[in-house]
Amino acid sequence: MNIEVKHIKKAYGKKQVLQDISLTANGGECIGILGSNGCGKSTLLSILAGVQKADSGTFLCDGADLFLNPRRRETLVGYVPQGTPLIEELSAWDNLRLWYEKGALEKSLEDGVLATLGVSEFLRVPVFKMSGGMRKRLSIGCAMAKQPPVLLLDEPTAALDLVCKARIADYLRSFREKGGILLMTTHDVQELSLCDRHYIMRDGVLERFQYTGNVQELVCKL
Amino acid sequence: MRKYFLLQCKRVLRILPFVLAVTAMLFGALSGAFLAVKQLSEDTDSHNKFKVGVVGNAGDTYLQMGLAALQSMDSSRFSVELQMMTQQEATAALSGGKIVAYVSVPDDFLQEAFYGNIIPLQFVVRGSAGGLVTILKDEITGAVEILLLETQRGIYGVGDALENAGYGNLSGTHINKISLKYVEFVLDRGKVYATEELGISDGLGLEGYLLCGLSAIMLFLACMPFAPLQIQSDQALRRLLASRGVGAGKQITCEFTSYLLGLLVLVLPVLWAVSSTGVLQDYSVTGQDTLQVLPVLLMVAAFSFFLYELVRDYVSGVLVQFFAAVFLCFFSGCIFPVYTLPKSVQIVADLLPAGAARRQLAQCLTDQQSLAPLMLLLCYTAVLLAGAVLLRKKRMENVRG
Repeated sequence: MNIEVKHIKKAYGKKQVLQDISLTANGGECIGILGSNGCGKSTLLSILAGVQKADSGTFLCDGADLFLNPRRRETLVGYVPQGTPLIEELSAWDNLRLWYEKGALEKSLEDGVLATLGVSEFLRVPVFKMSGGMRKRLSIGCAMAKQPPVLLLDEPTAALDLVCKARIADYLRSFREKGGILLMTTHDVQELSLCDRHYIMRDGVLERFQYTGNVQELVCKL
Repeated sequence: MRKYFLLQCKRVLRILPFVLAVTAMLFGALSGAFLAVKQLSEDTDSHNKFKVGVVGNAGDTYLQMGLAALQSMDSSRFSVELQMMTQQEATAALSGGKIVAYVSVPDDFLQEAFYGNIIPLQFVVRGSAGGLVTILKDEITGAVEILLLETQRGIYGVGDALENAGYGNLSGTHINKISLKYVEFVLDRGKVYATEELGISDGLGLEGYLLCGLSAIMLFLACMPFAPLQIQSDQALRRLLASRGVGAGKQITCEFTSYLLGLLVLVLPVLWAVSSTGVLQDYSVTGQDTLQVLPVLLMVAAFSFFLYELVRDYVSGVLVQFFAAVFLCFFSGCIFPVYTLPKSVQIVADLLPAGAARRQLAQCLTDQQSLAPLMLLLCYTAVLLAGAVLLRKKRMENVRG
């Protein structure tokens, strides 16, 4: 399994948000994209997830263009957007039912992704009563309903406490070890340690850099 | 998409008790307003008549008969209603505001008047009566004219006629009865015409018109309690849905349909009650008539959907919904009859969404059927929903980061 993002361009009016973005990733790889607010990181993920269309470019998965085959993209690509992609008034169970068939949901809760994420601990709790960590775990659980091999994460642990971050990081590590491809945007240096490759997005251009653990150096590059 | 629709229905059901409570309050307030207006309308005649006390010799036959004639006949003639009372009663009634004035008739007023000597009537008003005194003086002068001329002339004339015809042995009581009959025939001009009211608009009287107007307002405001369901500051769920093939159009379709069902749950019992209990006594509203409300519901739901896509939080949503509904209803003649609005506004009033809603609702109460309001409502629904889809699409794509 591998993905190839080729020459993606996107403009909002006259403002060119993404300029010829290209990258590749193989199974078991995690790619981290950093950048200041508004630099185009989330736009890139939303384009890859199919929320909006690129002006040009392709998104290939094992050679198949996912922009041209949305059905295939839905099964191959999971997407966890920024914020809470959940229905506030309903319980975790109800939210999961939106994405899972009943049998698959029960199985996943028993020994699948949802079990790993510990969603069964708060299955009947309405979303508005959940902590940030619960919400994020549930969001990832929803994104993983079709067990996609590619997971796009838009700042997955933003505003979470350390325990929650660690729990989510554990899950992401296990996902990667099973051959999944992770593509995440982040501002968090802890998340960067999860990633095999790092990119900085500046003015719509993606630049590769090697994160050595030196935050000061990273800040200078941003 | 089916699952999303079912979850939306579940959300609507969750919020329904709250919505019912808010709607009941709204309904109560607007029903109160309607009943107050209806009462005011019913009381218009009696409110227009000034109650004036007459203090005089209660035993005076002519005075009594003249007053009886004035009170029971020709209600269109005067704007005052005369009531015989004692001096004490009149003073108390004037102080208590039950009458606006009283006229004190001297004991020998009629006798002297018969011989050409006019003794002035004493006219007593409260200080605040102002220009009303002039009106009342005119009316009283007219009353005196009737009392003196018509009553006495009639009674004496009939007496003389009967005497001349050889019926002089008829008792005074009989003569009085005949005379009264005569006066009734002469004075009751109210019977020589019939009034046909064309109504304010759409073949409706004030009551029916206001009922439709207030119902339109009620429907617009009934959407407000649903605001927490529709207003999403966080676009994450919508983006996730879009990434799974449930785009803005499908999302709006699911949400709109479940929302519409929620509105129907609110409105249908009221419609059923209106059509089956005959609470609107002046109008016969059948179950089929109430179906005319459905296009209005469609438009109103689409209207709120559009507004909710413009805002980012509940408070703004509720405020926008409230002020938009009130302003729209005002300029569409739902709060005040359309003829009270400026000419330029009158032209567009019926074309505005609330105006079309009012006209469509009017068809529930009358036999007049027109496709124009229905077509307008359907057009508005389509435009507003299309607008809502575009706005949502734009907001979903407005990714910052």
